[in-house]
Amino acid sequence: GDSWGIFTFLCAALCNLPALPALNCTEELGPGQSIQKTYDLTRYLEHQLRTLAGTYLNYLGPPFNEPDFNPPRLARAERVPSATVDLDLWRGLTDNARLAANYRAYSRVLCSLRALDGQGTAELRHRLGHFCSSLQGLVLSIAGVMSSLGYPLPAGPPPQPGGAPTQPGGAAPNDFLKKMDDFWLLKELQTWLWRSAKDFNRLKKKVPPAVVTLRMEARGF
Amino acid sequence: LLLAVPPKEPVLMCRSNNYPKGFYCSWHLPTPTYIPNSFNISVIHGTREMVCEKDVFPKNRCHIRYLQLFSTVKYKVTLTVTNALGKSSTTLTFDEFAIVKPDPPESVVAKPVPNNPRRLEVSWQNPSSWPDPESFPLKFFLRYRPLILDQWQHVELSDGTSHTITDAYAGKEYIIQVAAKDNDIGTWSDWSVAVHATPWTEEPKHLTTEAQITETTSTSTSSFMPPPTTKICDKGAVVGSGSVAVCWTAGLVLAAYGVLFI
Repeated sequence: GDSWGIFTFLCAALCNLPALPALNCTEELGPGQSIQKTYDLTRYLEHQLRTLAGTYLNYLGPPFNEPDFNPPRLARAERVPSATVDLDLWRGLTDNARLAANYRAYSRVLCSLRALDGQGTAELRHRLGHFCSSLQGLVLSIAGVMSSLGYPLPAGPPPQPGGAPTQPGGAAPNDFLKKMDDFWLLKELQTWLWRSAKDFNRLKKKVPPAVVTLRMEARGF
Repeated sequence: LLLAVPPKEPVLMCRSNNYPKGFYCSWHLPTPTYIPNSFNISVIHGTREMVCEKDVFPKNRCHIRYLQLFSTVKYKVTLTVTNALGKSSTTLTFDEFAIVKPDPPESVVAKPVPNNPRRLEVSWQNPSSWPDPESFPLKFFLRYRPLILDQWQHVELSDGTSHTITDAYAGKEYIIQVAAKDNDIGTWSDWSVAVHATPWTEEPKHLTTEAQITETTSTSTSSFMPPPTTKICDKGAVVGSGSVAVCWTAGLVLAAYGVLFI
């Protein structure tokens, strides 16, 4: 919205400066623009998730699809790092740590959702496929912001022991417990999308929106 | 003679108007019991029991500070009312995000814009209870209508605490209100206190008289004839092209106004 206007104005202003004849103003996204784009993507995904959640919970079946289902959190290996964080700690996160936490979380979610591939109704598989494509876009967008700010990407998710994502203890997979894990995966994803909106709001304020990446061509210099 | 009764199920409400600091809960009895009642409130978050600190004022209210943000686990608040004849309780279960509702915007001001008969400049402030608008920005919803019409016009604003209305009917008094919402979560605040404003008008005496006569005519006849705008302009002793625009606008507005009364 507004930031595009500022960007275009600055580009035009700089390109008209007579003292810089060799300036070639290209529309490369500076970190400020990438942050805005990433923020917009999280909002889009949150909207998409609302439609996906119904289909997903219905696939899990009762009691998971009951509106007042409020189970206690069982002590099980978490597939996705939790979005829950101490308020002061969240405030004090460096830009790098903030971005890395988002990157790690969504990479893990993407992995876990892909592991569900092939399961459920045709409608669920279709919606899940669409959602995963958008989620992939979000992960790449966050990676783009990190690299434009000069931060290294966190290492990929560690390989799960035994291959399958949720098999603690090596016992035969318990259908109910697996569904419980899937239920919490959805909740963590929802919470991350709400948190990311706030994370990227904070990042927007700290990184000036009008950081313009210019390419200087060698003509005349 | 009043008969004392055991308490009926209390009414409980929880809300976060100061996100991310915490939330408050307030309660009341739907019907009086005529004897003293005591209230006990418990807040459970996952496996943890939290303390809701009772407010001195208002009496039936307590507040909680969030220890953690972005929680996946719901909060469960139970209020129990007890008196000598019995007790009753009610429970609310909610997600952290669901109860976010800011207070209405403050200091709403609406002013006419000099030399602009269709404009009104509105400005307001973030509610003072919202602790961190930098990290948790608010968006706003403005509604306005002339006093004489029932239909509101709406504008949603994603940033800034001011807006210029550019389609006001000239010379009509407007009522304006603003509401706020966290940019991403929760629900809209209640509407702010209403402010009134009338757009700037050029007021030479005969211009007013002409307008009044035209209005009276339009309300009493079923077919409305727009006033001859040239007549108004000739007598208005106006200077410059800007003023001519004012005249035309006035004529068109009066015509539109007349159409509404058909």
